[in-house]
Amino acid sequence: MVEILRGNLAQLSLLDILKMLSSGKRSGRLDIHQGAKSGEIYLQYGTLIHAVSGTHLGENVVYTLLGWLEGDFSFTPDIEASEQSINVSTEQIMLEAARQADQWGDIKEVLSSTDAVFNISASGSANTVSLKPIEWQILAQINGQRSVIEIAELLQLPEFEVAKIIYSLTTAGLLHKVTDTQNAFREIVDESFFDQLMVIFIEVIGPIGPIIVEDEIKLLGEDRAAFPQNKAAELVERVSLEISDSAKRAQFQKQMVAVLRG
Amino acid sequence: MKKGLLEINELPGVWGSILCSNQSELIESSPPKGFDKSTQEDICRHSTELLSSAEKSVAGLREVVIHYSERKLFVLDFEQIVLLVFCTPSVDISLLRMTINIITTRWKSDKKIQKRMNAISVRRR
Repeated sequence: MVEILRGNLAQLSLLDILKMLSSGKRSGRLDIHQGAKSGEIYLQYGTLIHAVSGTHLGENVVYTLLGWLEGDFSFTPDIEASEQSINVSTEQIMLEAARQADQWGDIKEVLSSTDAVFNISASGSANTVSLKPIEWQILAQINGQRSVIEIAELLQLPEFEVAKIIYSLTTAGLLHKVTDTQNAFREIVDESFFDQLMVIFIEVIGPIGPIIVEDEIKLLGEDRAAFPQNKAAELVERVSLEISDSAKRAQFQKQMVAVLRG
Repeated sequence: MKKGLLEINELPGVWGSILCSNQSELIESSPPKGFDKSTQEDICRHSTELLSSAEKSVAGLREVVIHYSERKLFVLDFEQIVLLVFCTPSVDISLLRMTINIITTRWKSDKKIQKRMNAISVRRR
């Protein structure tokens, strides 16, 4: 058996490879590897007839594999599929794949990768929200610890479908991204910390206090609803620098250090 | 002043602290275990020299943090005096900086401490 095509998805996208093999009326097996994950797509005279990845079969596997932006591929000609799991036309898959490739651009701006972890936003949406059953299923799995890919595997859904829904829930303000998996387990400050900070800060600086605090939270790249414990002192220090009177600043810091130290 | 150093040492991740003049004279200390007087004086001399040479390149420089593999040395310049705090890498620098500000603000309104500071300044001239 001779491999006629081998390369990396970073240089040639899977969609381009499939277009090439399909237009060339090729038969054989396309193997794709990304770390520990892998998938196979079988073609017969340029028609996609079977795709498998782990326990998943069919056209949804093709859509999932199209979402892999990195990984190795190799095409081995003349290997026949053991079964037929794709029951839609190759043209239809290509059209859907092209549409998904466009959407991936927007989705990736929010998700960065399917290893991203999300949590439910405490502030929620300003408007009434109605969810489809699949959206509810996905929302129910969001816990600040599971990644997009883990939720897809848990619900036996294509990665693209899960990513698309998480993207729309995030842009609707229902979810927020946890910066990385490690941070998902970080300690979050209690809401009473912010209550005390606001009261003490308003006493010193007046009603503009909450606006300054919110601005500093944003400048730290954080969200009040999930503010990490290890940045609480930094936030207090930054906020205190807005107090021009040095004696008042020291007094504010003294009160807040007592809060921070419990 | 000793009381202030002990307060700093109570912070999580703080290992010990030393106060010296900017001429490297040891003023007060609550150092990490095993740091004898001569070691402390050596550290003061090297730290004040470092601060002094760094200030020539960076105007308005007030603090320097030296990162060792298992420790951090936080050096703060208060014009007449220099405070050295020995920390573990996990120390919360913001919490440390605020605590130091609280203590040094208190020192500024303490007449006894001010008298001692003035004596250090007079010796420098």
